[in-house]
Amino acid sequence: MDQDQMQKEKFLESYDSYADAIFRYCLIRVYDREKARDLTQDVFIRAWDYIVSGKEVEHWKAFLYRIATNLIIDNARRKHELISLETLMETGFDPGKDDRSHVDDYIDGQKAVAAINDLGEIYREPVYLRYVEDMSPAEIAEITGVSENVVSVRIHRGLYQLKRKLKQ
Amino acid sequence: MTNFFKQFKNIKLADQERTKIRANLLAYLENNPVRPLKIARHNWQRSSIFSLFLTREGTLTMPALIIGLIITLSGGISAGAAGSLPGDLLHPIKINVNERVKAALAVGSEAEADLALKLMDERLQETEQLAVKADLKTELVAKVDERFTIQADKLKGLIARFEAEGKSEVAAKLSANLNALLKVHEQILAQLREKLAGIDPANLDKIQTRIRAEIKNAEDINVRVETRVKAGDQSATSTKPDIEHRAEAAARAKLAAAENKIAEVERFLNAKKDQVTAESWNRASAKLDEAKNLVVQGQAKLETKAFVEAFRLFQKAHVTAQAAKLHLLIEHRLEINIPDRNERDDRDESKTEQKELDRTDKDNHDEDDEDRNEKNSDNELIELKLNGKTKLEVR
Repeated sequence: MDQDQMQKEKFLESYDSYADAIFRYCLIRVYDREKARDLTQDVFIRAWDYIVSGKEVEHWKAFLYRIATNLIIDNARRKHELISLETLMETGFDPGKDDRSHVDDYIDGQKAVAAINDLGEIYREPVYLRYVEDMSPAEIAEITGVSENVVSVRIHRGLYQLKRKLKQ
Repeated sequence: MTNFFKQFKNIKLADQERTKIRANLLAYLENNPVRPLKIARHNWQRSSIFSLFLTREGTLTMPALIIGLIITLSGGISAGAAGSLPGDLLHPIKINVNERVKAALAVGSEAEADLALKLMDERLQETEQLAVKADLKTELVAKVDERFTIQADKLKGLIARFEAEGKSEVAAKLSANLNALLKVHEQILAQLREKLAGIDPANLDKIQTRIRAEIKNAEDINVRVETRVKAGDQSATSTKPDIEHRAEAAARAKLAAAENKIAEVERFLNAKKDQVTAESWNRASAKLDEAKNLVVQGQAKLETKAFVEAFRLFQKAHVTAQAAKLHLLIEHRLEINIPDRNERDDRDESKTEQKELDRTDKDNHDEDDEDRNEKNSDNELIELKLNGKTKLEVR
């Protein structure tokens, strides 16, 4: 099997494994399904361009999230969008089905997204990546560009804030 | 707390979405393969098409070498096709390969709409370039007409699809932009006909007639979309404050869009100032000033809560700014000066008495058409920002 074929297979495996997660990550940040879809595609196109330029990817998951983070920031700068809770609620954003069967631990999708987005920027990302995407502090550090220790502290503080908000 | 985070796991791409993106990526991978490590890239190997001609050992076969040289000299098939015109050898590559890849990557309504408009603009610019080169032969006219019709039908299909999907806003924007684009090109072709010798008028006639027919179509579509939006607006559940609130929101959104467009065109004009004639640049600049004045007028209407009027003025400002950019782009590309409608009127007035007496009935009819089109562009639709974005599909 030639190198091109191997790289293609690896790339497509990564797409199959991480497309949903990348899409979810984008959607939480841009609140628009079409945009999130476009961004997801762009993430993988950029990833392929990176490979075509002759470079190797060691950790696909972190690599894809890094690209996604940068694209989301570029997108927000271009559109001058301020992502706020008010915008979220006004546009009727409804990311998940309500599952009323779990009444005792029930939090509907909309409130979940609202709650996590109510956290400050520096807490939102590490908390989301840790508890939704099951990433380790080391992986999160690679994506966000800060040390593992800082990531662990932010996760701890972010979770504390989140619990307080949910109790209110 | 675990259940809280579990909520997010339900957010996924729908099967169809995932499959479509995968297909788009596969097409992208086909067109952008990885270079084998063993084969060093020489300076003269400009195109990835070389990988098709390599043996297992990484050496070139003799026929492949010859073909490869031809391709290299032509700068690579795909890249070389980009600037080709109808009748050129590589023009089919441009249409069937390059543009198909772009279409595959245009995911999402707005991206599809933008690409469709861009391709329509390409088709018309190709026609104008051929006209300037006095190369618009009869046999090419049929090809040009066919391509134009295909693109026009695609655009109409897109608009109808957006309407059916409830995306009235996108449908409205697309039909308004199409209208503006066609009118600019109609004007340019009319000017080319007047200015350039060696153009066979019969060949241009056919194309101009097609464009005018499509302008009429675009205007009919505008009216249809407007009627639909108004019907939705006057539904039993809408109260007067609701309607007013949405009209204000729509007008403000249109103001933001017009201001963004004006800023974009201003940057464009400043960047192109040294590359175009002073005459062209001043003309485009004057058109942009016209757009700015329309915004000021619209803002005055906003303050008096005349939201519908304000919306129309902002819409016109947007289209006028776009037209300023298009004119400059096309003049630069064709390397000709195309006077604005007002300048043309001034020149008409200074024509000799003999020329006035020589005006044919057809000349008079053309001017009537222009007046009618101007009036119709004032009856542009109201774009209401529908409440809420598309709901997400989740499992």
